[in-house]
Amino acid sequence: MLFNSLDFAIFLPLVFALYWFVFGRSRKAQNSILLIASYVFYGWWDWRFLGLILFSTVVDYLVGIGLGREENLSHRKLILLVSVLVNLGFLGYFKYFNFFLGNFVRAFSLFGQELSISSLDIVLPVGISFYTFQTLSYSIDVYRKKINPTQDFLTYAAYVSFFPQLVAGPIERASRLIPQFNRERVFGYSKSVDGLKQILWGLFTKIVIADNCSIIVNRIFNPSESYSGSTLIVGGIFFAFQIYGDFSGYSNIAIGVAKLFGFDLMKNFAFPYFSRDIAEFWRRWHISLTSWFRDYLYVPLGGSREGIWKTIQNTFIIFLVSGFWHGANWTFILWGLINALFFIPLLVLGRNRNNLGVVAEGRILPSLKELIGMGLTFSLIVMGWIFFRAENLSHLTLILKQIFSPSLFAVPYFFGRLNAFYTLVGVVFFILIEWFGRESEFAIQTLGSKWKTSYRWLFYYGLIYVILIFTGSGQKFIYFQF
Amino acid sequence: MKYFIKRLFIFLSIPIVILTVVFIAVPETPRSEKSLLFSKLDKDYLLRNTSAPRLILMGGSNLSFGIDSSMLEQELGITPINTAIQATIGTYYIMDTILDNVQTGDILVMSIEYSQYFGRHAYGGEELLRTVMDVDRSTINKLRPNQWLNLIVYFPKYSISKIKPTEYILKENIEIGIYERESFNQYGDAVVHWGHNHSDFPPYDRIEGRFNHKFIKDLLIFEQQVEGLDATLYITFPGLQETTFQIMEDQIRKVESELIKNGFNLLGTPDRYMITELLMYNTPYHLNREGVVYRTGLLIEDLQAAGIIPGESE
Repeated sequence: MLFNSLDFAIFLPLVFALYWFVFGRSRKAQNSILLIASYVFYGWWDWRFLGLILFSTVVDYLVGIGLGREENLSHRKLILLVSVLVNLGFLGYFKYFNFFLGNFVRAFSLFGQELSISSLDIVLPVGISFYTFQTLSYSIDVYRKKINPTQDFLTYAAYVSFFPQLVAGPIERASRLIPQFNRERVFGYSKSVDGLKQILWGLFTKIVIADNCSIIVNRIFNPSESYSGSTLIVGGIFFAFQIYGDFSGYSNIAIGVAKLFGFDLMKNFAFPYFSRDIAEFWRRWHISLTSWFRDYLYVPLGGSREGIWKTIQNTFIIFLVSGFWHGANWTFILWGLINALFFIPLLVLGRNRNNLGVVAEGRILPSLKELIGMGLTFSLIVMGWIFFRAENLSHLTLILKQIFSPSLFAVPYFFGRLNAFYTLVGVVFFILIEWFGRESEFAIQTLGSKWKTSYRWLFYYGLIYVILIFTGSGQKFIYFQF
Repeated sequence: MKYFIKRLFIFLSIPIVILTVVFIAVPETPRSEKSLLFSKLDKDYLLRNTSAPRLILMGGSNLSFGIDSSMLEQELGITPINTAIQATIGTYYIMDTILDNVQTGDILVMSIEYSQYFGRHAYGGEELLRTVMDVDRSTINKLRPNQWLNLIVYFPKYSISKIKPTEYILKENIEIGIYERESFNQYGDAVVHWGHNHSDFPPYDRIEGRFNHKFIKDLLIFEQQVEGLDATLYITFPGLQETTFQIMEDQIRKVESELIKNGFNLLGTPDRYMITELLMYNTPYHLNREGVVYRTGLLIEDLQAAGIIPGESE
């Protein structure tokens, strides 16, 4: 079920009403209704994959119980291994099997051995990369004794499948979310209003910004066409806003929906395009995933505790794995690699934690230094996104050839000029709102809080008006494929 | 909670009331009046005023942007009427509205996009709502419950479009002339694009949704209704870009096998109408001038093979 669909527009109020009005007096009943709703939400795509999520849930629940009872370290490791093998096994099979098979066959052909193994027709279950990481983090945290295993299967199943963040995050931690399932829920007016505002902003960024940018981007990055280097750069810039609008839009809707049910999900984006260096960008982009890799990969590898070379090595590893997490394609791995290359100099110079606060905090405009920093960082990010957007390695080679050619200085080609102009106006509006809201949790959280109600409502109506103009294409969210 | 619900109710009521009034009361916009959807009025006129027997072409834009009816007339000696406009109007609407105008001896050739056989595509989309609200309100009672279900999602967008400034002052479509009421010739073929070159475009993805078996049953009922009017229904296949064909090949095979299984009168095969890239115009179903000539030629051969040869139909 897509957030930007009629199905969800009916589903959400229905579940909300059942949750608060029918089952509002019992925490257990509320968790049950959330679990059922989550399975309906997920099964709406393909009910066959419900078995997968249920299996993963049962395995990690039992692993948690087992870890809770076992004190012997080698036994504990074995139990954890079950969770790792099951979750990464699912991921490996559904997401990476054909990739490895294809590369295996190609590698043999380099040595003159032609293998006739055909790839399998595997459908990638929606959101598998998200919920497997969520269940995995639970088992690891129990193993590390950071949290106690939950005995309540209902709570655990509701935690794994919680529909607002099930298919595209934020990837929640058990230590944050399970206690919320165990708590009595009280309806909060301001929290719910906040949630609605966040949903509205999420829909705006998805439907108005991302979906319109995608029209331009899909055309420019169509592998069968060849555009000038300058046009491809323009495509990269629009893609930067497409992927941000799409993914942050999803996260905002997810967090907003969760608020309506009395839950707080973790922040996933913190105005990343206002970052003054790449390190700051990676602290502000897809926070739930980057922090996951930090806690469950970077730190166990030694993090930055074992000298600069080891730190550089670990940094490369998490960037490459992070790239690979996005999909079974060399372009994603290269995207991770290029970001590591952007990041390492800051690490070596000890400047990776220079910009920890909000840019231009308490001021309307940034300083020249901040502006230059943001501009340079955004340029590097766009370069990275071009790697990310390429369909495959040969497409990427074509794009890079065009970019590093005299055509980089040609006048970029804009087709559908009027639509491109509207999209540009939308993007500029989006940047402005994000800029003025950058000190809040999300862009419009505090915007207009001192205005008269009528003016504030007019602003929201304006957003709804624009959303409705562009509603209908029902485009999927990019991150579903990951 | 009560306060929240009350405020939310008030907040939502205001735009809902405004949009409902706009939906019902505001007439079609100047921009929409020029759209190709309004060519339905001209095509209906042809249906009402051309004497039988006619070769009535039914389908989506694969037909309106893919046939030269003058070739059909010349080769088969029967007057063609190309009623096709756009696939998103939905085949149910096309079937239900055409029956009123079918006459004895008419030959109906249906060529619908493959998506129509899957999911809920045949029930129509945004263009259906615009057709029944703006173009021909008299057909609103022809809509089936399933069609209304499909249309609900477009209500807000439709209403909003009527209060969109660009509908009154600006033209958004840069391809002026291609998708307008005036784009069609005297038979109902879209012809303005015939003078344009092939443009590159990406192929379509696989069709969303499962095969719609109910649609096949309703298609059989439609065939019986046509035969009840002493007319004949043939089903043929749309001209489809080769790359897209390969992407959705198993789905196309399913369509073909179901049509054969149910005993429809078929003209040609899907493979015959797989069109090479250079004969395409601007979408995987739209043909350029050369493509139109090629595809019409195939259809003529298939119609002749089915027994519709010069002189015999008159």
